[in-house]
Amino acid sequence: MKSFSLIRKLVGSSMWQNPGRAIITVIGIMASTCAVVWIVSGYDALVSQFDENAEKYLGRYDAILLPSAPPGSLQTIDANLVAELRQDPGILELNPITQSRVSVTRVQKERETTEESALGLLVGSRPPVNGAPPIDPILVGTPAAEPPYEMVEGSWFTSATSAQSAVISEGAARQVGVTIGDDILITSLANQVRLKIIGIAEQPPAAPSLRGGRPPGRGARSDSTREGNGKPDRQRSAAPDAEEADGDTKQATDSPRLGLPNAYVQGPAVSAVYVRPELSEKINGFASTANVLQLSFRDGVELEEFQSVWRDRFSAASPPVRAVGFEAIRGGMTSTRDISSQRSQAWAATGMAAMAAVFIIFSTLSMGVSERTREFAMLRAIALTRTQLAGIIAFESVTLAILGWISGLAAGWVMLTAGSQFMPEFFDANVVLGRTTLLLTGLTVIAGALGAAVLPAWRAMRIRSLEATAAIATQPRRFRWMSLAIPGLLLAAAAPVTVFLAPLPDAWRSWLYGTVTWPALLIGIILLTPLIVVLCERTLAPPLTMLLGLDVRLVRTQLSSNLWRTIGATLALSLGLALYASTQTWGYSMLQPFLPGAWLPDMLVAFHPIGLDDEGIEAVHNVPGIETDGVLPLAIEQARFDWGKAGQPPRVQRDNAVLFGLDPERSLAGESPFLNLHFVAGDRETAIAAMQSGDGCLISEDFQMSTEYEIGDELSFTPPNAPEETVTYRIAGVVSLPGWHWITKFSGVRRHFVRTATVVFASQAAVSRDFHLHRTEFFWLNLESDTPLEKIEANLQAIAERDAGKSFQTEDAGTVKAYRPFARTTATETVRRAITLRAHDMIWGMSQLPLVTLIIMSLAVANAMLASVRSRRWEFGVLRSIGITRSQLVRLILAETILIGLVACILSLSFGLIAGWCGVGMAQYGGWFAGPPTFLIPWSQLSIGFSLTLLLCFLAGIWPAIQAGRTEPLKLLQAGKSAM
Amino acid sequence: MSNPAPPLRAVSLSKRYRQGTDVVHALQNFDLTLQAGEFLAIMGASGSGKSTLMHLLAGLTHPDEGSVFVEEQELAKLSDAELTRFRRRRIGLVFQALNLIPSLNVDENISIPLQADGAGKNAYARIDELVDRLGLSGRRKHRPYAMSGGEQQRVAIARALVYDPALILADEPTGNLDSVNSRNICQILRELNQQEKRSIIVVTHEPEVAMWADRIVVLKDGELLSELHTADFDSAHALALAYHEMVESAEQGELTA
Repeated sequence: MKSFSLIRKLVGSSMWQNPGRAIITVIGIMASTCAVVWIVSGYDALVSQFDENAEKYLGRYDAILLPSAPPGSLQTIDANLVAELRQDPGILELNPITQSRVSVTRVQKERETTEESALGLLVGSRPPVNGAPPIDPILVGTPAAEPPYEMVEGSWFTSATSAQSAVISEGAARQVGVTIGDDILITSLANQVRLKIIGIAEQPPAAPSLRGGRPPGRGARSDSTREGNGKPDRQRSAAPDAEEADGDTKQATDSPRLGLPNAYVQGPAVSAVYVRPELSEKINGFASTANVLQLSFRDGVELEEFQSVWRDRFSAASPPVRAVGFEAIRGGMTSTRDISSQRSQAWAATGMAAMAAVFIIFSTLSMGVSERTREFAMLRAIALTRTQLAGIIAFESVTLAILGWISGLAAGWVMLTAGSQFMPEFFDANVVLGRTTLLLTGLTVIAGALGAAVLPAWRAMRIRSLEATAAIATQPRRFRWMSLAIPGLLLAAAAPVTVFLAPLPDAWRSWLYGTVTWPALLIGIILLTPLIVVLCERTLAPPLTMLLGLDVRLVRTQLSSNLWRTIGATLALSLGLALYASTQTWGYSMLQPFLPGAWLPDMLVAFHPIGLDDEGIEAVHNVPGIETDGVLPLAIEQARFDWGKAGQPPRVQRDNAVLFGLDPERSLAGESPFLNLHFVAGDRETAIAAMQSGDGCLISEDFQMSTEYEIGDELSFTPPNAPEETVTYRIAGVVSLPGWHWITKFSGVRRHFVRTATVVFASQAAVSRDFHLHRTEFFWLNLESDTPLEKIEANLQAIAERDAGKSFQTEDAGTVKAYRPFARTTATETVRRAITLRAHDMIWGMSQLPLVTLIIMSLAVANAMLASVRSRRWEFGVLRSIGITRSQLVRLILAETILIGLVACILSLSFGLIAGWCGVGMAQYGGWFAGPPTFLIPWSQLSIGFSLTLLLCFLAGIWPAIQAGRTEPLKLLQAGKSAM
Repeated sequence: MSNPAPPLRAVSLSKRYRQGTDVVHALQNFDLTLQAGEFLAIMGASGSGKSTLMHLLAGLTHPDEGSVFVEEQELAKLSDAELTRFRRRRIGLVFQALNLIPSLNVDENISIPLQADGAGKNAYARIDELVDRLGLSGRRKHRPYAMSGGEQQRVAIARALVYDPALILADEPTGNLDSVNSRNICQILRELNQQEKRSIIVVTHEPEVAMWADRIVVLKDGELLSELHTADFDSAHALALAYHEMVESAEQGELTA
């Protein structure tokens, strides 16, 4: 462009003359770049360290051998193959390891208290369950003479080491909070042992994805049982370990089979507690058979050569095995959950930062255009074309963006370097400013800058050269602005209509909501902004000015007279605040159906997998603290649906249900029934009669909504213990069961699968008979209020331990000896506390990025206030001259900034409530929750965001206010006049 | 030898504005021809249409009817970009106030049209000459806020001349100045007219300023009220008396009509 040097000069000199706005804008972009650097650099670090991490993962071995199996299955390597491999002269060392999932906790010292956590409350030192995520370290039984990784502290096992010793990986030690000499409790379904930590080994930073399976917690753990005909694979479990059967073989083979909670590790676990194989057997209750082999080759032996020799044998093994070396591990590093999670976070941060950059630059440019209208008009009159004027805006935008980007990268680098030194919990020492960071941050700000320049450039192009001769008196275009509210309302209404009213197929509804009506809601709210500004000004300005001791006429039309500026600042603030409000509203509304409802008894206790005999059942009745008649025995099984020809309803994502067999009369009848169920469809009496006949069942309301089943429809199941049979119940009622999810998640009733579709109630006799359940394993209890839960749990545990030494059958590991059977208690109140705690953590976690954005965006308000003060210097000068005090002037300016904050709060609340409400409504179509939408406005959480916004606005206004207040009236008049 | 084409011709210009539901005829069927080297003043009371005429002549707005020709180029036939370029090179504009970009110094302000055009270095030599001529040599690196109103207007005149335009249009160039500075600016314009034979139109309501012109066009209610020749008056005071008399009698006539 021929006139580039003029444009450069005009932009540069303007920034030089008015540095405040440029500096604030650059700081804003710098802050958003920093945020992206912080998040994306973690991803870059992972990417840059694939080689290093793959090498660290292998440790001192050259390769690993894994059984080929679907994710979630617990497969072992053929013992004959292991024996054959030992004969291979090319193998220097072969280390068979057994990995299993356990709970690991630190043995607390006296008077020591720990921070309460959701999983701590519900799992703690109890055995792992299918429903809970596998976040504890994995138990690794290893015979290796040397540690797999370098020892950080202490020592590896020697012949002199005590049998009750463990070595823990560095990260696991941090997670559990232990060091050398500390004791840990390892708990499995079969046992609980106390071990002393004798060493801490280096922990590889990442584990690769080696099977390409679904990540933990996402899918059913039952994939192994789906092979072939879709029936459970009973091959392994049909071969009980004779040595361990210990005379209980008959009892064991008669019992129903249990699915052991799986570790979901694909190769050697990185977060691990290492023990000797003998101890591993004692903990697990079954023989240590290798599920991973670690191999070291002799010098000169390469993996490819080894593979070519063993290929056929590996394929013929049952299950087949495969050798995995450096290259495969490196490849696996690129598709781990960490990588995809970091990538998602990087995209989210980038999106947010791009929006932040757009709004900050937009507000700056908009204000610049408004302030310099006459200057631009004069330039139009004497020299510049419309395109050249647009070029000024675009160049200014890109200049600010590049300055912000470069300083943001520099600040980000300083932040990462200093942060890793002083705040290692937030900043990883390995993070780097890599290619992705540079690319994403650069693209973000440049694209954001150009996007932000479009509207101001368009406005600048519309400036008429005529305006150079005199300020053209224009009527405030409030009404024109407000007319935007009509399309705004229509657009905003489209989202709720799509979610709640439109009769659409689920897939269409999801597509329409995600791609059309949610963005339309955003645009609608933006179009509604002028109306909200004017309404807020009319309603909030009088009380605010009264509060600040000012005359309302001084601020009555201040916002609406400068709508561009106000809208820019308000929208900038609302970007973070509205997301915060919608996250909070959605989060706490979604929490409601998951909170255990009043229908639940006080506690669910599981004596599984051994169960209790009659004597044991009687003992439960006599436990102090349990109400008289406060014991309801249950027959519980988790079984797959048999959908028959109709097939699985599309909204049902899980293929199984947890069946609760209970005494219908005791649990449902009478004035104060054991379960105080609310019938959504059907009635209590008919349901009791149907259940007593052995034919009827109750289903939950959310399941009914997702299946659209009606009373009288049939529901069929395949019993896990008799896959050739089909069990059918007829739906006799639909009941509301808030909170069934977490009650079943942590109580052990999910006996086979991680996820489940619903809870079904039927009669105890029918469930026991139909699912071949012989002993009572579960009870619902009502408790007296004054007995501590720990005491009741201890008494129940004592009852469970009466059956110590008995065996039970599992689908994966065959017969398991229960050295220490467990009474797993799940108190309703504890679940309520845990889920609330977890929800707080999650919702707060999701709200952090919006809050950071809000803080960055407050710079836009500072910018708006600077512009406001600048444009009103003449007015302020006159006001000061005619008697307005310095303090009144300061309060006047603060009133405007607080009003902007209030408008942003109301705008964000509007968006947050609608978006949150729609989000809750859409959950029923996403397949993971189909209950009736509940809507809750979390006022106390929202008030935190709103208070922060008002505080930020106050802070943003305070400097311009004080500056104006300190300036002499004459200087205000002179400065104002020179700008006219 | 034929007469050179007039630097400016306005033919049957009309301009209307809407004020609420009323239509205001700012200019009606107005004709004007500016001869080469002529110095013309346009006078009139507030609302007489003199500023509207000025805007139309500069191509800052378009007439509802009629045409403006600058050096026989009809402005309405130019696209927006072409008009901007034409104005940049052929019309020098001086406004009453806010003539200069506050963040640029004198040299930079003067060179805006050259820079906007991407003119070569040779073109910039003219700036030295203009700065000397307008007495701004010692102020070249100064920014507008550090200069008096008179100096700022001289910078605006220098900028208007930087492309050696066919026509200079000045809208109330002394409106913000004291009498001494007003006189200086008028002197400069007169010298430009006399020494360089530049065609100049000045819009003013001050007889003292109009007195520097050759011819005066008096507007009233968007129409030509009268044409005066300054040679017929021996002082600004005499011109002022004649002007007031003319305006008052026109108003009387309206009242009695």
